[in-house]
Amino acid sequence: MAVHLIAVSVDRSLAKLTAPWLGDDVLVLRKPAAKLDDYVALRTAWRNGDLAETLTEMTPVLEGEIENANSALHILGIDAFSWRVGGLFDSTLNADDQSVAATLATGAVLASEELPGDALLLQTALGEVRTQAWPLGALPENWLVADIGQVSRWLGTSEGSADLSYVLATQRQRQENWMGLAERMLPGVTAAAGQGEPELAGLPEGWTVARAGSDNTLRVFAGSIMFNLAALGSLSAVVAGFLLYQAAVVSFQREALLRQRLLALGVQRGTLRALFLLQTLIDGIAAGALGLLLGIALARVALSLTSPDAAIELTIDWVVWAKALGTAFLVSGAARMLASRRDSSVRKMPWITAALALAMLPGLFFDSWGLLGAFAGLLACCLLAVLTVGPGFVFADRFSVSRLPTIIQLGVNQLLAGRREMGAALTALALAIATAISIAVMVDSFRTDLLRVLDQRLIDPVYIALASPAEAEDEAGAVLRPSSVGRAASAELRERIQALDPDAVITATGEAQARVEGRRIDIMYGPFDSAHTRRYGYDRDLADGSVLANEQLLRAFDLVVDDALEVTRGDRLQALKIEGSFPGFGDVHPTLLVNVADAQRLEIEPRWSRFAVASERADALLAALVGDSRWRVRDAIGVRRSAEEQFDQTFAITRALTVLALLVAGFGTLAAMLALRLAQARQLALLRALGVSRRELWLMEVVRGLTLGGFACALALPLGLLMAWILCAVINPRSFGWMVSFQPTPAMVLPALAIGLGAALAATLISNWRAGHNPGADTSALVTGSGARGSESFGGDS
Amino acid sequence: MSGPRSASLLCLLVPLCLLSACQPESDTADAMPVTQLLGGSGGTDGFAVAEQGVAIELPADHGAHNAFRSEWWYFTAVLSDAEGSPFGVQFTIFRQALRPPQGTPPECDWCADHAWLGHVAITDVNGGRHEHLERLARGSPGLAGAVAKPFSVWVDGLSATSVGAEFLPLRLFARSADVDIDLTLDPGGRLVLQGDRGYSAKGPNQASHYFSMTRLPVTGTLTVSQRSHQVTGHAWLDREWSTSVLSGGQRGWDWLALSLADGRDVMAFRLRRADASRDPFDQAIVIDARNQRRYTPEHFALEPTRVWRDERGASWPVGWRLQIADEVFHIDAMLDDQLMRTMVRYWEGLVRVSDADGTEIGRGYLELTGYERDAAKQNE
Repeated sequence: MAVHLIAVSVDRSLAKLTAPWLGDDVLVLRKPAAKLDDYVALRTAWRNGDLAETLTEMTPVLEGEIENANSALHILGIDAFSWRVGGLFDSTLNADDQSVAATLATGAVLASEELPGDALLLQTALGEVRTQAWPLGALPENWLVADIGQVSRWLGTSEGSADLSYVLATQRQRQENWMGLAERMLPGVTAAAGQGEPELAGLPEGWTVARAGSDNTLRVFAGSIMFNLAALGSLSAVVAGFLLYQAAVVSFQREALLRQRLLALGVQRGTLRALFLLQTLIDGIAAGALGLLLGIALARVALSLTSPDAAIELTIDWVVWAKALGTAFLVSGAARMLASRRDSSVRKMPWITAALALAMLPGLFFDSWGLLGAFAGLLACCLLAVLTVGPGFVFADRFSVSRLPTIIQLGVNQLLAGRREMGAALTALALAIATAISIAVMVDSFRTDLLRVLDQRLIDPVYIALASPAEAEDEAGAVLRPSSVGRAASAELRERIQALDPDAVITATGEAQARVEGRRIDIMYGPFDSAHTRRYGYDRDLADGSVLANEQLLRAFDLVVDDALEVTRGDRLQALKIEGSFPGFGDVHPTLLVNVADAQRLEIEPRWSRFAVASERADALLAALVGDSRWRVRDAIGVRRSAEEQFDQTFAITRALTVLALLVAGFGTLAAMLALRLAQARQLALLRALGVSRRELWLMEVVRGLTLGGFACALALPLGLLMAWILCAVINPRSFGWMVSFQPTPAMVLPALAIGLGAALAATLISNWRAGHNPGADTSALVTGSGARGSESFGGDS
Repeated sequence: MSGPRSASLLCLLVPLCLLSACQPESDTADAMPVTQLLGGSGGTDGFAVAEQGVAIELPADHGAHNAFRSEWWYFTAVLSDAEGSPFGVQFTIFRQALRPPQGTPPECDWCADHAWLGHVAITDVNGGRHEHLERLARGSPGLAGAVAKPFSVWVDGLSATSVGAEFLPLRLFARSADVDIDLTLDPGGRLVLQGDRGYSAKGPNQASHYFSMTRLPVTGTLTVSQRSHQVTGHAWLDREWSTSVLSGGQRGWDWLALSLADGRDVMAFRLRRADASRDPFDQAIVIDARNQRRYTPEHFALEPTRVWRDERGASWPVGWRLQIADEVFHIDAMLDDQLMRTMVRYWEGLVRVSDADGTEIGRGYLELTGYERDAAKQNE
């Protein structure tokens, strides 16, 4: 529940930052050089019912750039007249369609919140235009939305018939379909499953359709993170399921005699079934409510740890209740059901489990199965490992430790004899340890990779980024700064650096956006000579027409180094060759590094925004440049420290989850140990009667706990390493587009093994301590015969 | 006489006015008063005005009159299927200028000088359903517009288009998930020049050009609730264009267009003034095969007899008593809920006409506007 609440909280925060036209229900329709007539034909086809009836609205779009302040503003021209009820901006503007349409049609614009509202000054094809801007929080920074007629004139496309950028269409609300419900129950599952390309039957010739959300890489990225968290969070439920099964088996054993007596007294089987359901219901309500309360507390703690400055708003809606209670009922019901039939249907369970695992295993090998397939493969590995527990006990039983002291033999044999009681607990413990190992190895491997990349990139001592208009403080109080200010800031910055250190070497880069196969990519342009490309693991000058691509881009478009790709920007198209690739840890978008000349061929006007400065007088530069609101200055050490802090904060939740899973498994082991002790009470009493001292009994218990922990660790170690490899090489690339090098070290593995072993030992000792508080129990068991059930032969076959 | 229809249009065009680029300094969050929208106090702002003595010229006047601020093509049809089940259809297209005529074409394909609005509704009496749709479009080529010959007017998939070179036969077409109509209006109806040969005075300084065509034979198909019905019946067309049609002081209007079984057509309306006085421009007209007889407020009475309350609490009078000279008509909605839940809500629907004995003697359409505002004022 904590993971769910965190995921929902993150999702809502991102939704506020998401451009309305990149919503989950929006489609992008494209046709090369589409004109008004093409749009009319498309719209007429829709209105005549030739297209899918699930479309609710459609608008033509003209997208372009227009200058205002430091940087160019992106402008989106939509048809305010057709974009009405059910349109994109209804929810984001918190107003009805009339206000949106009216705002745009009167010549005003909707603008991102950091832009001035009263009188926005724009450099348009008509000259300098002052327009009223209404703030719209949902717009990304530096974005404007205006009526398409207005945009057409501002962009200077009024001569002749302007080419449309694309057409946006909305579908029915996502809450109306099953995927929407699944997304609400398990945030991130849509991104994990991958929605595939939409189909729209009846499209006029030349039109293609895609999901607008695929441009919203930030949310896709976040969706992957959320699903990763959700999948790990669900592990608690799996572990809990094993433990509940364990508890239910003990409970059924205890109640067997009572049930027989009740049946003999004439109580109907239906009544007993109702009682069974009632117990499950009580379990479910208790576990659901408790889980919810703990989840809320944990979510608050986790969110405050990871983003201390963020305002946390946890919404407890019906979905949260449904998920908490539903999970509790499901896990509790399934565990009790299996426990009640363990002598019949459970015999088939290994086969069912094996079949299930084999069916899911291919998810690891086929990229098209997406993140969901990867986690299915991961689960398959876990299930296959679980299947080895039973045979493992049998194997261990055959190789009995006859050369060891008697007491130790007794401890080991006692555990082996109680394998029916301990099997589920051992499985849960092993899974928890394996998960802890896998997370530790993946996170630490990732950290090692990240630090290596940081070392590679941060070769200069000083880094400077021009502030966005939102960050820049306007000393005059007016927001109408001409676009030349950005260039002026850039020029002044260079002058001041050169004045302080004439030998300083400045490497400047700029950023722009373009499209590949209709999807948005980021372009970083600059003078990519060998000194610069070395930062990206490529030590030669980047030739014209050649580019470096990050891993995300290669995966997104299924490309490899030496492939060619076509990049479009407006009506410009440029064929480029991928000369090399670089890891893009933290990059949300597919990104290309291109030379300035290639950028200019795409009609990108160089506008430098980032500067790396190699200087012997770094300290003096930092001291002189810090404090000016037009730019942000950092030293390499600061950048590195900041990256490390962000990394550690990001994975704090993940680490907390693994500890939680280990705790749950520890509790489960304790319960199993208590049950085993109860089951073997008569034998213990017999040992006492035969003269075995309490100290020897205690030693036997310790051996039993260590043996249990040892078994769990033996199973968890290979499984954990396998899971870690899957996380690094399969799940990370499918989630985020980058691969993490699998580089396990003992330091990553040992803590999890130690905690697991410690949990088993602690459970044993606590169970022993509790038994010690009831000193008569062992001897009385000898008299009453209690505890005989469940342990077929003392000491097993030895 | 077209007063209520004009008023209805003006009510509907309030949101369109908000779209207008001719008021760049205004606060778009506030709706413009209807009277200002209609030029009642705001002048004509460079638009043409209706003039007495200007003759209606067909087919030219079937097309758009872009020099005027607004106009509409307003069809209503009284229909029944082969089993005799009653249906009603409303099909309306409005044009509203966004700025005075410039004398030059728009600067670009997407630069619109006009906004267009379409409303279509089907009343299925036996099915107890009233389905409607609304379309708004900019006046860019292909999206919305009108031409006189061969006649066509269209808004975003809704269209009224001559089948041949002549105005009639005419095809009304609309398709959506809830409303689907394909009707053909044939020649054979009556042409009625409203007011003084098509010059319709609405006030001391307000007027429009206005003509109607009644009893146009209709055949075609209606699909409602995914069931298709072959229907026949007759339609009523109102065509009106103006720049300044209403004076201030009106709170709403009640309008009736009735087709009687004896072959007569009746139109009557009353304007509800803020001071509750009778408006001197209220009118009734009775049309038969040979005559068109007009009645001033002193010679007819229109009084509500029954109201229906909508989900917002507004009361709509859906039963009426109309007395013209010494003849009394009892009018009752054939379905109470025929409310148009559009950008501006109004009631427009199929009604039954009965005589004093309760015998059905005709059917027609009733339009009610301004009652929601009345309810809101009462709540205040």
